[in-house]
Amino acid sequence: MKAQFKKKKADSTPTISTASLPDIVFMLLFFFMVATVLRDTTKLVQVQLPYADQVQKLEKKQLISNIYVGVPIEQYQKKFGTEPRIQLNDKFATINDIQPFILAERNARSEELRPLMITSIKADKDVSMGIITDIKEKLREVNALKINYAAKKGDISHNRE
Amino acid sequence: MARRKLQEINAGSMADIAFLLLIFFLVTTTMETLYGVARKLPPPPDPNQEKPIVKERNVLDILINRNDELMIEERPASYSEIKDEVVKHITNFGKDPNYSVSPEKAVINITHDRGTSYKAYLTVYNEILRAYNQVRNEEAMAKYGKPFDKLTKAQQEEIKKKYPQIVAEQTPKTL
Repeated sequence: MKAQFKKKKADSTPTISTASLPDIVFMLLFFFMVATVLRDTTKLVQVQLPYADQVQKLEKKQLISNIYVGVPIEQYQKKFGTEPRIQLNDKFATINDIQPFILAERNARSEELRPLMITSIKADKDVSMGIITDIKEKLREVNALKINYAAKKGDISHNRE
Repeated sequence: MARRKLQEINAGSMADIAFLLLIFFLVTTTMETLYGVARKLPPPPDPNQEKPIVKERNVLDILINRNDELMIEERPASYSEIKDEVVKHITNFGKDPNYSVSPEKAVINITHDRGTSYKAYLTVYNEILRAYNQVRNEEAMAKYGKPFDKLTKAQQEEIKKKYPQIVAEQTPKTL
């Protein structure tokens, strides 16, 4: 009768099976695909959001148009100065570009989503209210009335530091 | 015909492919969830519409100057006082002649300078929201025994109707 069990060779080191490695990596991959969102724009301005605690979560990404306000990042400071600027999509913009931008955003979405659109103002905590007021005035004129001041979730006392 | 042994597919490179995809997703995505303070702007002004007349006692004036200093009803104040002042104003029910007649008529009026910083403005706005949320929560607890966000839509609407949130903002002037 043939031997049923082979005798293990004592001196050869057993190789570690890597067959389950793809499964582990795929699991990680799926986790990251679900838990993260695609980065949409490169930031040209420095934005340090202020803190607030009466915040809501912004869920529906496709309804949101972003307006960034802040001081240009270092590499653009020579060209655009150190005064706070507005950024729409991937470009620096002026206050007069806001209305065409909102109309373009509105046209890019289907009819039934348009009334639900939200404009998110992502402004640096140290910009002055003048520029924010101008933006709000422009938004009112095109009837983009739902706005959202982006903020970090945290106690407001952090704002005074 | 000789029985062929089933050829196994070499899965060694599978891990590499998966890693590549993983790194791609790590680079192109962000983890951050977005939070924000919601606000509804008033519709564009209608030239034919008459300005509503609001009694002085129903208005709580909050003023922020260009140095981010506060005044509540023409009296210097600190940021920590805002919430209590607003709560007092909304839930006055006509008792104190300096505060509102009823919650439906209570108006909070924010005036700020063009030079006021955004964080100061957002702090004030956050405090006003906190006051309204507290009042609505108390009402929800008293009436239904549940916090405001656990109520049904209809119940929330009812409380919102009783305590509407009327925040007016003036076009900034230089103070």
